[in-house]
Amino acid sequence: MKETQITAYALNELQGNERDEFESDLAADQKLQSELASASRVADGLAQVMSEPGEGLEPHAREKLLRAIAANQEALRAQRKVVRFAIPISLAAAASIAVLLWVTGGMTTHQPAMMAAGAPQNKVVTKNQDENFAAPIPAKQGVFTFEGSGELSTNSFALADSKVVSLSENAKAAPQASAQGTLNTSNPGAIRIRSLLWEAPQTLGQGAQSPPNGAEMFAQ
Amino acid sequence: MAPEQIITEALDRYERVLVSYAKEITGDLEAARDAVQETFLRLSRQDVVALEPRLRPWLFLVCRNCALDYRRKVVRFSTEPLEDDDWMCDEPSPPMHAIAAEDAGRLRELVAALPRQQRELIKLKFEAGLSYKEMAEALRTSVSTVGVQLHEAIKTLRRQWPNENQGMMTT
Repeated sequence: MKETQITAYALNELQGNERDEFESDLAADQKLQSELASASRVADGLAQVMSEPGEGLEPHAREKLLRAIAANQEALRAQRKVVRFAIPISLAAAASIAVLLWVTGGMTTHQPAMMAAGAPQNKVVTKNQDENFAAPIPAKQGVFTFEGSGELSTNSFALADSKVVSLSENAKAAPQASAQGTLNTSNPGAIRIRSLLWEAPQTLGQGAQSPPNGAEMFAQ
Repeated sequence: MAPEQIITEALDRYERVLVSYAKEITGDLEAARDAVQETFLRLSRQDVVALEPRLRPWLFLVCRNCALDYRRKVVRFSTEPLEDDDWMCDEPSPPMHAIAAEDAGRLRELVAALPRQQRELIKLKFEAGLSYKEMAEALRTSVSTVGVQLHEAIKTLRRQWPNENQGMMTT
């Protein structure tokens, strides 16, 4: 039995099993009863002494306080109203921006493919009539005939063996113009010919990256 | 219940008790009143409806903080040493000089001679009617600490306040 339980019981702070156990002990323990009576006596005395009303706020100060409370509550209500409208509006704006970004982003992503697929003049027709250009042209030394529109040029690549590819004079056409030419490969092996058919300022095959709007043709 | 109504009712109900409690800490009625006003101003900036279930300990906690702020300011400009605020401190109570007491006034004197922490607990329990749990919340301490401290206070008063005064108190 903890001594603090006597006070807790006198102050009605013991609950449940603790209270039941205390009451069980209390019934059989006269000393405990005496301790509890003493604690209860003081508790009752304190309850009477402390229940006497003390001083509050000055009347004018209380009035002022009530006005300030009302003003604060009004401000709080206004603030909540703003928040209540601001959240849906912000969400709607965010959703609109997201949709806009998705639409424009999608267009940007698909633009080269769309342009490449939708522009028949961009095709480079090889000797083998391979319009896909994804499949390697069978290795052959000799002359490839091609046609298409736009500026055509070639470049050598460090693929397998470095090969020099020359392009006949008449293959260099003006942008957007139709062109026909003969491509001479001096050596068989891996060569790559890139055609940039609608962006004249770009040179085909510069560097390792494919031109964004270019098509590729492989010859081996 | 509307927030204003909750605040107004709390003010009606706890105004005097809070002033008394704050005065216990500040030792100054005007400072205590200021602390209570500040408490209710802070309350008016809160989500009162959400706070309502634990409004009572909240009021005493904030009021206590306001009163302690005042006390710290005063002590900073004076030589009076600040009493220990540590609720876990195990310092012995100051000696009680008054043994014979015959009335409620005497009991008040005995309470006034208790350590400040115990006086606060007496106020919170018998003036404000807070439970151990609410007192622990208001004082940011544990329920067991509240129980021990309050028991110490009652035990001291039991020793100092003779039995023969019981009849006088109950009249």
